[in-house]
Amino acid sequence: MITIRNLDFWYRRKEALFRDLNLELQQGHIYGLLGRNGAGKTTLLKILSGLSFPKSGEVGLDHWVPSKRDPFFLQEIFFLPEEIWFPNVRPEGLVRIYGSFYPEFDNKQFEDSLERFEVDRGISLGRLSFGQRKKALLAFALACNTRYLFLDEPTNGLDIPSKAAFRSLLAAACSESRIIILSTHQVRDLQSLIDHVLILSEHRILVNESLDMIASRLSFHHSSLPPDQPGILFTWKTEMGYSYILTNPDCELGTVDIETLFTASLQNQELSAMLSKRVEQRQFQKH
Amino acid sequence: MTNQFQIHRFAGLIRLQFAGNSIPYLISYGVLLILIIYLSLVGGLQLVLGFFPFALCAAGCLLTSDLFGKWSDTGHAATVLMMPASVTEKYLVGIIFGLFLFVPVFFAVYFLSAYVMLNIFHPPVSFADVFQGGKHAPEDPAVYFLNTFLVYLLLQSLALFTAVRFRKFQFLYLVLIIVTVFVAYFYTQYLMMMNMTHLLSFNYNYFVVEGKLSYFSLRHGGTYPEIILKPWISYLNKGMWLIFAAGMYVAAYLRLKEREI
Repeated sequence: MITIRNLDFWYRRKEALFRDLNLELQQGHIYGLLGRNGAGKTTLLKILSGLSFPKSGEVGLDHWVPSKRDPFFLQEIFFLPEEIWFPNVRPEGLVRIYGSFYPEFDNKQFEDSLERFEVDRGISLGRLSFGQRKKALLAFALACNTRYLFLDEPTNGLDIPSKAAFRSLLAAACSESRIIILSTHQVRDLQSLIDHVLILSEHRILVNESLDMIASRLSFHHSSLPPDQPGILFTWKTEMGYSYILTNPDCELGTVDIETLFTASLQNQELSAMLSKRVEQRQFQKH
Repeated sequence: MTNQFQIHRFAGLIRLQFAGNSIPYLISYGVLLILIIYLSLVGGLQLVLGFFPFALCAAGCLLTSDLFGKWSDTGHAATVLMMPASVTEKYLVGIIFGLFLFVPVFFAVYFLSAYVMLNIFHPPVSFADVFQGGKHAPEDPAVYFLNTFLVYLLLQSLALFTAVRFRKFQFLYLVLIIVTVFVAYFYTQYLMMMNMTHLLSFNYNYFVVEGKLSYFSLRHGGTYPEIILKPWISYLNKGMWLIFAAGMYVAAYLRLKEREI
């Protein structure tokens, strides 16, 4: 379990990025971490990985404190940021150099993932294209089989077949013991994978809810004409028509349009309050 | 203890250090070889030996800045910091590559290349000649190299600290700090000389190289009288340099533990 209590963080003292942020994440889920540019998605992942330290508050990944960077903790976590350096070796070189650091590393899984991604194994990482390199690193990240897997913008630079391959590989990699967090702006690429949404806005977690729970409370619709039904919580004009959200009194589970949910949460106070109230209630019950 | 040091992880880090670095190492050797060819052609034995401390210090500081600068650069730092190994292990690898492995390898490569080049341009030259700078050896080669190593320790520890302390322009900061430290060091000696001699004097020597102080004296007709120092003063001076270097190493280690990106 990941626990964050009363987290404060800033890069410049006068501009707090997180203020009294609280969060609890459970094993066995794929979390989608969403937020505007500069909301702190990558920073939150850095704090969870021990790359940045909280200014105040507590961060715990089970019994580990990330900022201590215990080697046994680092064996349990893999964070793949958007920009990362790896030595200029061929993909199998990664296994030779890094594989031994991760006790659960699965070489066959790595090979299979490279195969699915159609990565050219004969070329060193430095000579691979951005997308090919990203796929090699994603394959490695998945094969490490760490308990915590954090991926920052994993689908950036991937072509359409590779995105599909990534989805199926990640779905296969999800297990009851793992926590996977995907920070992304491209929610449509990962909509089918994410089972829990975290929306970061204005120094805190605005929405922290499972998609099932959201679907039981809200229904998402689309029409080419402006909607005029009663009970509309939010309407969003897109180039394809109108996306809108209704309350879901019958609790019939439909599909959650994460992009619309994200836009609505940021713009519609009532809706975000409705969703965040549940978060507060849950935290209150735990305390 | 295993979360501080484990031989399996340590060996992995050493392997990682070699990976993907063969081309930069070859390029560095190419630069060194060109330099040695130039020194052999222009100056011969004495210049080759005289240039060694500068070449060692410059190359070592560059390597150290590169090794530890990776802890600060965002892209590199994520890989280095997230590597499942302790800070102690990662730091030790940097020290081994920047000090214990670098000095003997550089020494061997420099003098072996110099031996070959000098024999091409000024044959015949023996190995002993290369280490002694020919007939006009400045001092006992062992003392010369020991003093060179002491200066290297000081500069390398400073390079290490600046690489860890600053996120950008680490080498620029290093040069600035070295200049500041040396100016302060020489000025202190100058004041000391003034105090000791009560003369208008200018000190141009320093303790580490020789066990004496020389100064320019107007009273003695513009000559350079010398004050021979007692050995313990020289040892004390070298000891201070060592303590300073050790302090830099410890400070850098503690700083690395708190490194964030």
